[in-house]
Amino acid sequence: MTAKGFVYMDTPGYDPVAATGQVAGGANILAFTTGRGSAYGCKPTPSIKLATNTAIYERMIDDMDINCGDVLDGVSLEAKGQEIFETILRVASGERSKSEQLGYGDAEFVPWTIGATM
Amino acid sequence: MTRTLRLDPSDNVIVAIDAIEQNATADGVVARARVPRGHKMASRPIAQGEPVLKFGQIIGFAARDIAPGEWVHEHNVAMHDFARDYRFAEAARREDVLPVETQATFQGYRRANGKVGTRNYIAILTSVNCSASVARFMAEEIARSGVLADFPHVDGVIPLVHGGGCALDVKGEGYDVLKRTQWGYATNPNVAGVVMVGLGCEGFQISRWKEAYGVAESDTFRTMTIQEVGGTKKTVAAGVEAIKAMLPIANHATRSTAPASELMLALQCGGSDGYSGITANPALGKAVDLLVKHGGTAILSETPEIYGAEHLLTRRAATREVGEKLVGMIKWWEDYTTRNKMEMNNNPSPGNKAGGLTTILEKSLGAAAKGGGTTLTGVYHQPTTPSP
Repeated sequence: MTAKGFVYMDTPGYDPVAATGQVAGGANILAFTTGRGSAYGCKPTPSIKLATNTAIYERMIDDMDINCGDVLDGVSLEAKGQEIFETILRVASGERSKSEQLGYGDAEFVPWTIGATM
Repeated sequence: MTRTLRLDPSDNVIVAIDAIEQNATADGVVARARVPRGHKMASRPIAQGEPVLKFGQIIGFAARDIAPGEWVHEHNVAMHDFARDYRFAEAARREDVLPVETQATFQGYRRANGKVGTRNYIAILTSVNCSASVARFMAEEIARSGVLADFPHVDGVIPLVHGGGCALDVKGEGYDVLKRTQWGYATNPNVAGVVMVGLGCEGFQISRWKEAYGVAESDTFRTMTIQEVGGTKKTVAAGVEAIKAMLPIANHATRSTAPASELMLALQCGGSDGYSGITANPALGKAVDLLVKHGGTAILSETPEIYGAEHLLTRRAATREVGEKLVGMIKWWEDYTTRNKMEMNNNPSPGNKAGGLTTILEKSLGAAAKGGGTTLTGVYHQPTTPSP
């Protein structure tokens, strides 16, 4: 990938397959939002998990790094965006995300299988 | 007071932040049925066939007349094709990027090729499923030996196993994607060293793959096959030996200050609900805008999940060509799903639907919000070859 800035990569919607493509494309950090409560994690690229609502953030606190549910209580999107950006810089610098602490990533390498298996 | 959200003045539905009980009044409308949290309630009459609008965008069409106060979901909303106006590159602009000396920084591992890693792993790649267990045995033996304690700058050894690599057409796109994925992992800046193990007789020939990328064996790049080395035990021992030889080299890497422009952020959403497009995704979009301002890169993906929202991305495309490449991918997916007797609207999962997402369009509009608001500078196939 040569362009800087906001880019698009064609992948399936299935999360581990899509993320495998992004890591293969050179991604060195990953941000993952979830409302129902995904328990995803990745190696070699650390994944930061963002809860869309406070209920799932609290129920799955061991898996979630950031609660975005407080946007509904009045926290501005700008302030939340700043918090996410700062977390990205800290995790990039070595702070371990929740999914890393749990040891995720050995089973999440899922290359896209496309075409016929014979 | 029941909390609700109107996302755009033109919307004919409102979103229930908390569940709206039957006969409760929300936003001046009496609920005719209970509306679960994250779900939608009609705020205006919506005639049969009329678009249902959320985020100011079409998310589906009324399958029958819907009265104000009705719960709006699968039972009264249908999806059908409608024309989208791509308006290629209409909103493209030159993004202001901070000069490198004023960019935010992080502490990363600078690699010989100039890229910067955020982690320092040794990866065990596998050409085929037949070598998956041997890759795991190598990683388990390393863990059992306790040797990693002597190399504190190494984050670990990862067995990257998969289910493919043989009984495939080596001229087909399946092989091509696997080949590029393996190369992408081998060269990801978070990887300090690679051991690749194969069986030997598989379709995915390691020697051919090395040739394709012009890569040679080195201190931090070793390959082997089970058939050549002479069985499982000898191959595990050879792999462990290769990894042990790489550990001191990988451990030499130290973190140093790097600008945020060296970050490449992968964007994902999974297990989405009615809040995704309102809270976490647009907040992540704001973080992406910041990262772009600081010179970095963010990758939006998952084509079946931006399906229906692609016209918002084509407007932001840097050029018509970039936008058309994205539309080409959408068409590929339509063809691919048709060939496999599936439909694109199958995507909202039962969990998504329970969370209040009715159609793929609604999910897509929320998913695309992760990408923020800056110009779309490039569109790539998975995973990309080094040039566009």
